Amino acid sequence: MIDVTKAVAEAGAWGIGLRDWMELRTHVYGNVDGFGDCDLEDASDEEWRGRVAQVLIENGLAPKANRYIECCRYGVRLQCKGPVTHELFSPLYCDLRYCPRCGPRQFARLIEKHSPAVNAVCKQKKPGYLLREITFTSLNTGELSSLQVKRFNQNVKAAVKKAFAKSDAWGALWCDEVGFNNTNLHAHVLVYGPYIEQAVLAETWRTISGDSVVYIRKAHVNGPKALIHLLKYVSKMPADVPEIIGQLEVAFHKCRRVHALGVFYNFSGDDTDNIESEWTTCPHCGADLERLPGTFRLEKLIMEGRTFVGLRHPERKQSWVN
Amino acid sequence: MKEEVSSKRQGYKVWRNPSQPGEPVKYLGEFFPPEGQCRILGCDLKQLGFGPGEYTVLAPPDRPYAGLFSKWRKVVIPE
Repeated sequence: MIDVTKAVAEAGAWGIGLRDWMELRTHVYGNVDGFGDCDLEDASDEEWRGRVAQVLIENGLAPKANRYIECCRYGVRLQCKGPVTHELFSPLYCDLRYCPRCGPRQFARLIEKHSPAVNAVCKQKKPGYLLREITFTSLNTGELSSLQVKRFNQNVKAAVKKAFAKSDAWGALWCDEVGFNNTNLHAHVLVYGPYIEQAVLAETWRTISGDSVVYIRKAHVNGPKALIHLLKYVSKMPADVPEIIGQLEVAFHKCRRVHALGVFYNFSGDDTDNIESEWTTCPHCGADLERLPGTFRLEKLIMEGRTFVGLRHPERKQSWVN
Repeated sequence: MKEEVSSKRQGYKVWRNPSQPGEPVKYLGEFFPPEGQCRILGCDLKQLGFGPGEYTVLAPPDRPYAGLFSKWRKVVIPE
C-alpha cells in the first residue's frame, strides 16, 4: 500500500505525474536484471497498465492504480518447513477485475466457489425445475458509473426474487457484463427454478427497472458447463482500449460483479478448496509453508531456482471473489 | 553534454537507484543526450560526473523513435 499524499508530493518535486512515480518504483526496487539487458522486456504491457492506472488515478483510486502497475512484478519467498526446506515463491497479484492476469484467476476461483452449488441442484432433479439462462439488459447511456451498476444489481435482484417468489428451493447466480468496448451493461443469470413465461419476466423487469429487453431459455449445456458459460466473460477483457478498462474498473469499484441468490447463496459444499487454499502446503513434500520477509522482483525469485506457487494468501479470501 | 532544462523540450529524467536496501531513490535532474544521440547511455552519465551504480532513466513522451526505445531504461555505470 502506498502513502498517496507522500507519493503526490514526491512526484511533484520531481516534475512527474503519479503514474510515472508508480512506474519508477517498479523499476527501481528490483536489483537483478534477470535477462541480461537493461531495457524493459515488456514495455507494451507496462504502457497498457500505465494508461489504465492513469484513469484510476484521475478518479481518486491511486492505491488501485499502484496495484495494477505492480501486478506480478514482485513476489514473496516461501519456504517449506519440511526436512529439505524446499524454496518456493508466489507472485503478488493486483486481483483487480479487469487485469489480463487476474481476470482468468478470478474466473477459476469463481468456478471453484460456485460449482458445488450448481452440481448439487443438478443432482436434485426436482420436478419442473431446470437450469435456465436469463439475460437482463439496461439502456446504454454511453457512460457507466458506480451508482448505475449498483442500481442495476438491485433491480436484477428484485426482479429475480419477484419472478420466483412463489417457488421454493430456487437459486440464481448472475454476472454483470458490458459489451466489447462499450458501456452496454447487462446481466447473465443462471437460474435453477420452475418454468416462467418470458412475457411475465419481461413485464417484471420493465416494472422494476424501466427497461424492457429480457431473454430466457433453458440452459443449453449441463450444470458445470452452464456455469462456465455464465462466467466466461470474467476471464475475458471487455475492451482493447486501456482507458475503457480504467473506466470500467472505476465503475465497478466497490460493486460486486457476480452475485448469488436463493440456494446458490453462501453454498460452500463439501469442497475444502472453497475454504482454504491448496498452497498452504509444499507441493513437493506436503509440509507447511512459511512466508519469508520482504518482496522481490519476480525475475530474481525465478533466478534463485524457486518453485512457483500460485497464491499469495494462505487462506482464500472468498469475499474478494466477485 | 551539460545539464540543462529546456522550456520547449522535456529532457530525460534520471534517478540513482539505491545501492543498499532501505536507501531512498535519489532524483538527479533532467538531462539531454549529446547531439546526434537519441538516448542517454551510461557513459553520458559518467561524463556528467556520476559514479558507478545503477540509474533509472525516464525518456520524455516526445523522444525520437518512441516505438523503438522504451519509456523507462535502466542504465549501469560499471565499477
